[in-house]
Amino acid sequence: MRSILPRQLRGRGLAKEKTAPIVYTLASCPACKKLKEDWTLEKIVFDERQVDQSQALLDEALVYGDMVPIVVYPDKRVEIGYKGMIG
Amino acid sequence: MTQATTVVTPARFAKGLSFKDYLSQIKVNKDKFEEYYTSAAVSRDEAASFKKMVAMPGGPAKVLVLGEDWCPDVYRGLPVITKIAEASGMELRMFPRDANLDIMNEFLNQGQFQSIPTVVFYTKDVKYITHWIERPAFANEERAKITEQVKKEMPSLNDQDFRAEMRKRTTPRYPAWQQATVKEVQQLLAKTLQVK
Repeated sequence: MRSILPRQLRGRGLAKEKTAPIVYTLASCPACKKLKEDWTLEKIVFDERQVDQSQALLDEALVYGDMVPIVVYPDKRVEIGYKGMIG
Repeated sequence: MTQATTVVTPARFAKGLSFKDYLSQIKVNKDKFEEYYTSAAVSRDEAASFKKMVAMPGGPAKVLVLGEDWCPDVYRGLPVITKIAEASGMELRMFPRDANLDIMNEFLNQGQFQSIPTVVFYTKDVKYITHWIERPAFANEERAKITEQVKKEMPSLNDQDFRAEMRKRTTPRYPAWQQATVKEVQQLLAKTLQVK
């Protein structure tokens, strides 16, 4: 089966927030740091949202979980923690 | 942790923030800290008991709190400890945990968890007395019961909806958990100081 992207998401103009996983983090969380280091090395594009910097982002993250990192994939799949670590 | 090796010296203690100064520099949940400051209460009898202990030689003249602003246990608990300090004349100093891990590491929950809030009582010359972690036993018991109720009544909830339902049912209990905190802290200090 071939997936068809909506017109606005085709080609180079893909909006990062529409196509990349969202990663909710805390500034000092070791698991978050590890995820960011690994994903940067692996050139995985992600949209980081640091929840201790904004009430709106904190409230947004709490919908998914109360521990970080929280990864929300474009298909709405949610993963909490990274490689067995929680911040 | 021994007194000889602790990082909490009188000079370090003095670097902590007052409740008011802490609130002025946090970025999230300021309204919640204020709301739970309003709902926290220390009765006349409890205040008298705390005052009596603070006045004792070796009594809890100072209290250190480790916490982070995003944590519900902290925005519910720190205001309670602040009210206890205000009612009894304790000097309170707040330390953000993640910027003070050397202090946190002296008080790990079960030797491994950086649980917050962690509340540490000291004498006026900053000698360790005792410490209290996270939330009262009453809150843990109620939370466990509510968890079981939600699982039984709504077994098909997904994780997100389960969390939302838990928040909906536990948040109204926060003032009662604050009252339980005052009682538990009072009992802890009385037991440690052998006050009848």
